[in-house]
Amino acid sequence: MKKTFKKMTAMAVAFAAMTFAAVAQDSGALVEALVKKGILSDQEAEEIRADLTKEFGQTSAGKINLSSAVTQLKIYGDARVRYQWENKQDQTAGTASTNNADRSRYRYRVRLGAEYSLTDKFKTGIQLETALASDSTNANFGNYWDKQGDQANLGLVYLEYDDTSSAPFGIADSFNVRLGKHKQPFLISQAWWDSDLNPEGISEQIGWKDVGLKGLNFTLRGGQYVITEENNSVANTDDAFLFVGQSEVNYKFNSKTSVAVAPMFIYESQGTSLSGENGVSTFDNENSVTTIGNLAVIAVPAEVKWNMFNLPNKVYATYGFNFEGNKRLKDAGVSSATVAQLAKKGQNSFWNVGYEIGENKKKGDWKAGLEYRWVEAGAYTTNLSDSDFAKNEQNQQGVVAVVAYNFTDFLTGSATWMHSNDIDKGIDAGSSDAATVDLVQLDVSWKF
Amino acid sequence: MKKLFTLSLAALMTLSLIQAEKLVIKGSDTLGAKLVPLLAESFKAANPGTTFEIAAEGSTTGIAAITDGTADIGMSSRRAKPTEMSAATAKGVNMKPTIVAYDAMGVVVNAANPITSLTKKQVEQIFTGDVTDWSAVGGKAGVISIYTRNTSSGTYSDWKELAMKKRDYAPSSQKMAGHEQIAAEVSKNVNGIGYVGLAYMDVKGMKVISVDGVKPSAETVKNKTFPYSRPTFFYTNGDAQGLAAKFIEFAHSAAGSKIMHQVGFVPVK
Repeated sequence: MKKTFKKMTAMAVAFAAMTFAAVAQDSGALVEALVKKGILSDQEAEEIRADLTKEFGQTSAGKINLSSAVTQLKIYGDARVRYQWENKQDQTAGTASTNNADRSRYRYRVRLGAEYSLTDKFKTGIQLETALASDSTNANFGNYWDKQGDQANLGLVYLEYDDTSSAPFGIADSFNVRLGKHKQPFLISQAWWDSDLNPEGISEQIGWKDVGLKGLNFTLRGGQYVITEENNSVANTDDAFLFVGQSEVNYKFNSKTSVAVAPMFIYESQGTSLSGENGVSTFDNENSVTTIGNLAVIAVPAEVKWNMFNLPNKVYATYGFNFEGNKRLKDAGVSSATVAQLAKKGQNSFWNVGYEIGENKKKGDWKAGLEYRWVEAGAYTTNLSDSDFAKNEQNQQGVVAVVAYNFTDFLTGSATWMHSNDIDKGIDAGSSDAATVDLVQLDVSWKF
Repeated sequence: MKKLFTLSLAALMTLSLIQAEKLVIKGSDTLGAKLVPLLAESFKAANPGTTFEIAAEGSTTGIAAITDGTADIGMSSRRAKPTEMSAATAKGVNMKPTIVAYDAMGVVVNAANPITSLTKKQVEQIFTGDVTDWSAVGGKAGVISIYTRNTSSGTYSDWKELAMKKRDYAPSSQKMAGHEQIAAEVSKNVNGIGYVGLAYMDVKGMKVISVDGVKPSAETVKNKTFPYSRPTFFYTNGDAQGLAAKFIEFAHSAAGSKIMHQVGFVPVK
């Protein structure tokens, strides 16, 4: 009778685990418990384990053979469809196509990625995404459904070392290095570092926790990135690099309330040469890849987070100043006289201030935000700033408002409105300088 | 004359058949270093004419040998991985484990070390490098030297699973070729720590410490109170047949159990 019971129990365990192949690998604890209770012998348990393992090998997951160095594989992706309306009015009267230009755009994006956790605290990952531009992942619908713009490009390819489990080198509490084309590590508003922009080079981060006071944390970050690779035999065409450094002081009152201040510098190594890859030397242009140089910025991003109405709240702000702003304007083609005039008015600073409430993590979540931005003509680079705001022009000030709602855990709808107008109408930098720019984006996004 | 010739031929053929009874055993060095050769010697004494080919080059090679059909028995100090099972199934091989004996890995330190007991958590912290000085676990100040098996050993991965929650070894850990080498290093180094099988615990200059108050022994392994014990396996293609079945049966016999005791393993029965 006991033998029959044992056999039936063993069969039930095996059947249950085989029926639900996904849990087959987790049945070890159940088998172990039956052994401890004396219902199964060790040998019977081993035979069941072997059967379960064989069965698992026949499932889809069991057929994947990963390198032994891989401890976890995460495959992720998301897609978005967008309707965008935009209107731009130029400073000076131009042709109908450029002045007061109305435009509707029908766009989409796809991102597919895989992140491999490796042994010894390493990670590696790749991400494919639509679009070629560094600061956009959008492709256009239309043209009678052709496939131009539909190609997938490499958005991320990196190796990361992340040590938070022990004190690296005995001098800190965390240490992180990213090499390749990777996500930027800095505390900086999306206004000043476009969310689609992944730097190429190396980033480092080292952190200390509870420095002299529980909750007081200190983090240093650095980045050395390649901007352009030029033919060194041609005069005035040196390779250009971007150097970024940041020190963040963060005080956590509790898990939901914190204050952070993170002064940083951003510096383009290239001198006065205007050797943009596409030869463009202006300081505006959407999706510009111009490397003007003359960027020596000190910026101070800061944020305060707290919980109110049972929702996360955040106030954030940045103030920045470009010490080479006048030179930047001059090299961009603005006359010396105008630069002198502009310098009196100050065209070197940028700032933003914003408020966010809510979050978009699961079904029913919502978020709303309002932000004001100000970026003077020589203050920053359009290669880093949010490419949607003011059609990525400078000498602009304006607002960004966004609302978003999670219909399901994976499906989100959002609406964004941006309005900006020029700060100084006296800047003569070409007919393309906008007087006002309006933009509305209606998005449906889903994760998978 | 013709009858004599026929009889001689038959005798020769029978003899050659007896001599052809060869058992190929490959795999784990934990099993293949001492236990299986001793079992084989004893088996041969009881079964004249039997020959053995034993290659102890790690559990992975034993499981692969069953899949490839190059061994009758695959020795392993760990369970076959899902990918190994899949590879076997794809080749029409029905990988079957039989528990040979139990092995326990005791934590050993230098005899001069005042530490006599550690918790499971402390063992994990030491081998992962979270704790690097003996003073952090109640010992005399001194940087801990960790000795482990090398990466191709089944024991190396078993220890990660049993004692380290599958975390990585501390980067400073030193990889040794066998249990003897670990024991030798620990007995020389006052700050040394390592793990060895039951058969290697009686070494001068080294002592076995308790883990959560339990020391490794045949009793604590059998009643499953010692945390770092594991079954060891013979893998065969389906149920063992012929000579392989006889050898496994012999390993589980009273004579086999005696040998297991001698070399520090805990028999199944």
